Amino acid sequence: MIEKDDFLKKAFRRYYYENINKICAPQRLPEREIGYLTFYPEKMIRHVTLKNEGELKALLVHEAPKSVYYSTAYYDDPSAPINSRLWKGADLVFDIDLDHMPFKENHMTFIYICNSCNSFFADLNNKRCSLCGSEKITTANIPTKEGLEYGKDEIIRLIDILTEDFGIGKDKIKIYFSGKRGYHLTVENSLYEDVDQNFRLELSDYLTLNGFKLLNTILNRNVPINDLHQIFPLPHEKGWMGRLSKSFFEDIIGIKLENWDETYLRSLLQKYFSTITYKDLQLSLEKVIDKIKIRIDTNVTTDIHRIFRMPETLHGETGLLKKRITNIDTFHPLVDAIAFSQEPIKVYVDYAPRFELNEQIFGPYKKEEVILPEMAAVFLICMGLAKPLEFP
Amino acid sequence: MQILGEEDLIKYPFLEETRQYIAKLGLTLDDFTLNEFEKVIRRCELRLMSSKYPPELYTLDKDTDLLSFMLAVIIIKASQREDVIARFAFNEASRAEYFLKTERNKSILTYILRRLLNINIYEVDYAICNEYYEYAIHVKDYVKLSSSLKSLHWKIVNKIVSNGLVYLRRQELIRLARDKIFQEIFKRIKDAPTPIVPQKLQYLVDIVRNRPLPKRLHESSVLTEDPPCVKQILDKIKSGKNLSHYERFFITTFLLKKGKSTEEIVSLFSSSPDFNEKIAKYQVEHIAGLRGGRKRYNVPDCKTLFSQGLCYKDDSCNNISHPLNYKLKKGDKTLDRKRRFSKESI
Repeated sequence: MIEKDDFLKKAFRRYYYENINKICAPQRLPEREIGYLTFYPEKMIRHVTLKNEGELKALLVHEAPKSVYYSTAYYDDPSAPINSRLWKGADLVFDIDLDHMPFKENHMTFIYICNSCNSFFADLNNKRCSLCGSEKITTANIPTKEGLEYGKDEIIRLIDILTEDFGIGKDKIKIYFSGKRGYHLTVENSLYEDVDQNFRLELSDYLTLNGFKLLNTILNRNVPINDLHQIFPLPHEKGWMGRLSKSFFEDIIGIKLENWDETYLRSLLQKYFSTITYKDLQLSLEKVIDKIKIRIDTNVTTDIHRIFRMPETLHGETGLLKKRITNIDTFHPLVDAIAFSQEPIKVYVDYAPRFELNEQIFGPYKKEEVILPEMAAVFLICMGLAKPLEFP
Repeated sequence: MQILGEEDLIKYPFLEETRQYIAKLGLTLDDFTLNEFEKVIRRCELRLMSSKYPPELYTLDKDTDLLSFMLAVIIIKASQREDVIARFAFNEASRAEYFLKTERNKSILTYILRRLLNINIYEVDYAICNEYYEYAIHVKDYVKLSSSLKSLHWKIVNKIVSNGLVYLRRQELIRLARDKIFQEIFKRIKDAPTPIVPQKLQYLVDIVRNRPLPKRLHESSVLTEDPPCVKQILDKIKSGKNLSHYERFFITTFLLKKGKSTEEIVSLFSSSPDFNEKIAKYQVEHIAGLRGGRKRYNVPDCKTLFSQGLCYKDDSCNNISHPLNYKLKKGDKTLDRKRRFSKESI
């Protein structure tokens, strides 16, 4: 039997060696802290400083890390202990992960692994292993094409808010497929670089509509519902008010917004409000809010010392790349982020549901030897679902 | 450029021009012992002794006002009573807020707000939902200015934000100005060198020194009960649920601050289904400052917990801004008043 980590480290090293010209260091590399996870022993190395792109390339080929990270913050001395280095600012960063989205069956395939008897299941009953009864269960999941498409919409809406509401230029925004279940968005060189944690908390609450109380302004109880159409926000309004109104017209009243004429829109509202109660309206607006809020991972955005996965590096849990997206409409994560080849490799699969990579469908497999293209073999081995039986 | 008149200085005596104006008069502290400054001394006493300014201080009395303001600043500094500095700064800020609210000339108002806040202020004309917005400021400035205001009303999620600007109603901007004035006056007096006051005026310093001390926040009660946010997590642990990373971080900082040992905290986590002693021990010791960067982490404040979705605020919280300040409320009227004093009211 070939050691899994030995196989992966060799595969990762070969990838970096053969594709070293594709590696492009993040801007202001010497001011950032670099961290990386090694394959064996599995250990996080932090507080590393790299002077230039050459040193980064050397690190990737020499160490072949399981994952590579860079600080979103800029420091005077990134390798000094956190208390004794000067924080000079940080990119704004956002993580959109399918884990934070409302759960939909077809977005992710779940796999439950019993840590006691090492069995694999597609379903979990009563939080226990159906074979040995243990409660020590870990969950793995594979995003589907549909799930990843769904996540794109969140990124598009996030970009809209950052540019429209916060005045951030599109040229300052970079988006990436994270290499696993979602997307990353980074804002570099903006005037928000120096904002502190308090600002980032406020920004995060703004995007997630956490603590949103403007409904009280819209649902002004001093105005009878029959007159509410006169003050109800219209889709052209600024900020969240406009977005909320737009979604209200489209999703609640059910019209396609083509005619933005105020008189016309207000007449539609008047007609609609005559058929409902205040309570109905409140419930509808709450539905709208739930739909339009952006589901970012708050911890990522608000942590000013975060280390974040480095673009164009391999994700140790999938073998896919964290890949820059230049055109989100034509980007296909499960095609464009593939790093490994089609070369066949024999593996032993403990368990794998049906999954898709590079427009090819694989699985399901259960306790069997399979010959898979390297990209799929690495994927399953990274996920802990298969063991290599040979080197490429 | 707008030039401030004498009347504006009397309304806003903390502006730099006051210092220049008074410097021109060429007075020393000893001069105030002369009879001709009797009125200044009376007015200064009002400023020093009032817990809330009486109506006289909301009228304009040229030199008397400016000089009594400067003298009050000197006396308060000499008394070295920080609580009186805060009270004085609050009263002066409220007085300025009154004049700003009653300012009829918008261009003067805008000019003064710009001077007071020292930021770009844009005049806008925007109305939505029966609300009229006259001003806009950059969202970065806004977040700094509103950071001490606790109500959800002030969060940017509850503001109109567009193209990097936050739209504000007139009274909202004035309210932000009040806070800024408070902070400026407080800081300026606190950072000033302690003056030597002539013997004849020493009685004024004594008046300030002898003012009753406010009941101290932590004096009367110790934290005997846990705030709802802490209870929520402890209940979760008891019922054998896994905690999120941030829940673990928060509960660890909180319990460390309450004097629990790292071992006690690790054993508390041991009932979690995903418990791994090695990792838990490392994390708890890291937070306690015993490992890694040797930084002992602070307990997050209510604002941060709210953003993390971990605030379970109820009436018992009584508007505290930090979970460690919990249990200082019920039945304690002094504390209740103290909070109301710092609470914004629009």
